[in-house]
Amino acid sequence: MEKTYKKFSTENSIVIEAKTASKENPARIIVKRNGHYKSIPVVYFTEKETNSLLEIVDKVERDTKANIVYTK
Amino acid sequence: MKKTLGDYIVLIFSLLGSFASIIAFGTYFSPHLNNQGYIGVFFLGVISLIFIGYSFYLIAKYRKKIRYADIFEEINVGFTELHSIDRQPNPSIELIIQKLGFLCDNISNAFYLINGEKIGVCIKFLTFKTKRPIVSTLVRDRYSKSRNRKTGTADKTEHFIELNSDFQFIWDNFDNENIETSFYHEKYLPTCKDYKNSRLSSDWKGKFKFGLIDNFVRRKQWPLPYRSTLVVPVVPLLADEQNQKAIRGFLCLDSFKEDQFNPQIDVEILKGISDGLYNKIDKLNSLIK
Repeated sequence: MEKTYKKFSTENSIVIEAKTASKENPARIIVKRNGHYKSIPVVYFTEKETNSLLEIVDKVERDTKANIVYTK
Repeated sequence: MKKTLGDYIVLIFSLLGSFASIIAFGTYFSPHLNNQGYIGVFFLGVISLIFIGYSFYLIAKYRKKIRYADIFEEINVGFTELHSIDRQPNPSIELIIQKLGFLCDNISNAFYLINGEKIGVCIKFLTFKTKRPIVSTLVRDRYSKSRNRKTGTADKTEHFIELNSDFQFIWDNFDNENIETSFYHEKYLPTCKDYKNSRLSSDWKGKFKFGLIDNFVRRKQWPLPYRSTLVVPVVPLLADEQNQKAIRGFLCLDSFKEDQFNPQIDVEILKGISDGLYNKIDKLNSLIK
């Protein structure tokens, strides 16, 4: 059954938290709202990994503009 | 289905012929008609208008759907970009990012064929800052970049996930069975009163409401470069232990025009692409560590 997000009207009662992976649990987003709890498994990049990744994105952007196509 | 010169010639002749018929009828035939004749002509005119109106309705309804047959080439080229990553025994981060960028170009071209308008495509990944999940742009299509849509370190905005309606659907609709089918679609962003976006300040329109013309004012003052959007999560279509159904990111489409997407069809296309994408983000995640 398809579902779409329609309305988010209980903004003040929602708590969203990022949980990194542990031995017991995978990385996930924890959502607590109106007494309900949801755990959504996700794949995260840490802040340091994100910065490294975005710098590589910049490099690839420059190379692509210079018509450099990577083969491996 | 592109219009040809022949289509326009036929249209011009049809219009000229219609006007000529009406003028000729009025000049030469109607003076000789009795009451029954007028009723008969009126009846035939009503029938003709009904058929013409129904033809326009069918054209409007199916014109866009026919164009989906033209997009397979672009989608296939996009998939070859993804498969070329899989064929490499040890793909580099640069290769993966470049191929994902080319994929965005192919998706953008495909949806341009459907809509006749340029469509922005981007792939976003998940990170976090002090326990708050953030969505960051990994790659964009070339058209969006030419319109100054930012990627990489140039994008200074922090897109906290709870501040963006586009990504909140994952917890409003998430459960283990349905995440691969859920999506966010908004046809009329400027008039969506509860739409939230990190790039949209809360007072972008001012506090004054303009009553009946409020929607008109909102459209005039809308600050974002897009007015309709479609977002799907990057997850495998079929999950098993190896590719557990964790969200790897989001595949986002947007258009500067309103009402540009058909979620019933477009989501199915994007789900298939998303299924080809998720392990590339997994690969990036393992390489960057």
